[in-house]
Amino acid sequence: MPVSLSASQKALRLASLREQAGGLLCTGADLERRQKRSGGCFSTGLEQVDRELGGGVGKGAITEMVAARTGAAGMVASLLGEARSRRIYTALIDVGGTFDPGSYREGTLETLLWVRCRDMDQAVRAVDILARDENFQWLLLDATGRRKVDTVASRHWQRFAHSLRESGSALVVLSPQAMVGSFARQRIQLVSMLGLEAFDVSRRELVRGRAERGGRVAADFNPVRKVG
Amino acid sequence: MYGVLWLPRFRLQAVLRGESNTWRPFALVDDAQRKPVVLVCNEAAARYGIEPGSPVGRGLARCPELEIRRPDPEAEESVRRLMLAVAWDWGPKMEATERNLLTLDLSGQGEKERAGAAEETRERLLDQELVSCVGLAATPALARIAAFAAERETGKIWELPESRRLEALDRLPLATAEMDGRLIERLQTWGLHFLGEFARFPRSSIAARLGEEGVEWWDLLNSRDCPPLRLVQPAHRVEERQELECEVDSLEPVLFLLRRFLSSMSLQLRALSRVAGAMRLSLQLASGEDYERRFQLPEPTREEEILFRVLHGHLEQIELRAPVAAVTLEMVPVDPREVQRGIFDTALRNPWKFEETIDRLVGIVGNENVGSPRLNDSHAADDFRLDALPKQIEEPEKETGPPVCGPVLQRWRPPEEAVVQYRRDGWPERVESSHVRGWVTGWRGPWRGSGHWWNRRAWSRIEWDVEIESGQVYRLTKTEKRWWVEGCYG
Repeated sequence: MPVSLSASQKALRLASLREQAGGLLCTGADLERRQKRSGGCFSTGLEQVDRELGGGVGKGAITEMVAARTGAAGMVASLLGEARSRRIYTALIDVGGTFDPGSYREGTLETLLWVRCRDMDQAVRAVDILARDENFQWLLLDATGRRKVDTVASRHWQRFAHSLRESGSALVVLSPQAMVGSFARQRIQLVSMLGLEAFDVSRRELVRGRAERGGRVAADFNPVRKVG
Repeated sequence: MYGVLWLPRFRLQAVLRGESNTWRPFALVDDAQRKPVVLVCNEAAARYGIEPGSPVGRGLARCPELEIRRPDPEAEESVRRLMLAVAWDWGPKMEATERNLLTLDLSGQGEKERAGAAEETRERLLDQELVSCVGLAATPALARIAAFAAERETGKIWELPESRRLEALDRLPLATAEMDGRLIERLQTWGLHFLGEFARFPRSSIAARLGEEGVEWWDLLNSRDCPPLRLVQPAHRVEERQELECEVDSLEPVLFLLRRFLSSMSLQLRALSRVAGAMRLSLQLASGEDYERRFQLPEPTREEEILFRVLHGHLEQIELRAPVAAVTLEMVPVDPREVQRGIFDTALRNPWKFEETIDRLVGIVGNENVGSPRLNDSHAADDFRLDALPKQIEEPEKETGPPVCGPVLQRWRPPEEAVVQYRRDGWPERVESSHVRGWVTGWRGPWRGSGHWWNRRAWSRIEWDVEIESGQVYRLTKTEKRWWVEGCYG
């Protein structure tokens, strides 16, 4: 026999259900708010970087991350971990082939397509193809393996930006110096210096941005927003 | 009700399919005889008085621009298969009465549906550059006469309704029914010139004057003869082959041919209610070699455009050693896969585009540089392989075992040779290579490793992680008596 509940009883039951579901249960308004907050962005998995980027890596746009010395490999690791947990196909266009699969758990690499390019010319052609394929939502162009980065004509970036708008994919360009110019929607500089202490810290803690051991910072990703 | 689908000038149509200038006079010639004769010619050639059986020399004298073609059994077989496939969509109860003539049992189809389907069938064959005639009547024999009448009357679809059968037959000359010439002459001496007049003649008089042959024709024209059909089905082998008249060394003619093949094969697959699971392309080269490639399709399909893109993408990447003399394309028909995907499943959004992308990437960086990295079951450094990316992403498994610690290595390939100074206690003190130079301020190691000592791939190494005065951490490796900087961490 159905039992009629008063409004306050219904609210109480709903609150208890929410509590039991541990945050999984939300109202339509909550969901909309959450989507708006993350709208048009992919989280990098690094809180500080997301904050600097205004929510994450922009969908359908180019994000440039300048890593003059180090920080690029850690950023790639963070992005790949995030892509795996969100089940997103990712393509890594690796100029110079410096990506090291041995540094990862095999499960992390499951959604990764690794394209090893000899030079920037090959990389540009590869990005051109991948940017038009809606299967890959993340494209990572890692040019930090090259000590001297060849310049890429602005018409290429313009074309990539157009293709990305169509496919909705996000292109993250990691380079030792700024190269995308005004075609990058967001640009940050990665300043990361990991000492030998970092070898005792789990990767998960490292990619969170800041890990402390005995009151000392073992790892610190400190992204600095630059103009542009 | 029965329908007959007929391809007039079948052998010539099969040969001329794909040619653009079919308005010109063409003749199919049997040059196996000592004096070659015309087997069949098109309307443009017929206007010059050229007809089947006339010597080729005479034909060329009358029409110097007459173009001569030889019969092509492969093309004829291809057209026959295509015709079966198209007709199968109209009605599955079908008899292959002749190579170029199919009889269909259309019982159960309403008048409007029948007429619409007949028109659609003709149009689909026209799309394949084949002109056909359709006859509709109460018996197979009358439907056949109606199809011949359709060609004569240039209407291309001719219905012979039972209620007005005799009136319709009154318009058709005796020759329309493929009667024996002597019989036609005899009937004409009686003053009978049309089939309707013959059908109205009393049966007993026909029997008395013309015997069995006359009675057979009379019964046929009066819908008294309706033998059962010997039913056939479209062939389950879907293959097209074309030998090229001139060897070609460019891509365009081959692509043109493949597009035509795919158009026809797609129809054949549709008739079979199947899709292509794989394709096999074979190019016979002028040097006598064969180039073969099998394409396993990511998802079975019969979409012409998708299949064409697969072939086009591949042919753009290869370079053949000799011109192409013949092209063969075969489909492997499979049942369409029925998959109900879960709402939270993650898969490739467009598997076709994905295959095309991979093919194009391989064309740029080479096969050995594209793939999803997987670690080999070994402790050797940098030991991995590149696999294909999975078509569907599973839920990540919960991590087991010890956590992965430390920063990520940016590996230098090849490693840089270095000179390392030691301290008295054996620790590295200074590193010098072309890009790394400095005093060591901290280190971790040594990590000793070896493996594969039982074969030629035996390896042995000592690893150090060293921090130099600039604060940068590098991986140093010692193999035998040489030091290497393998990469930097960051």
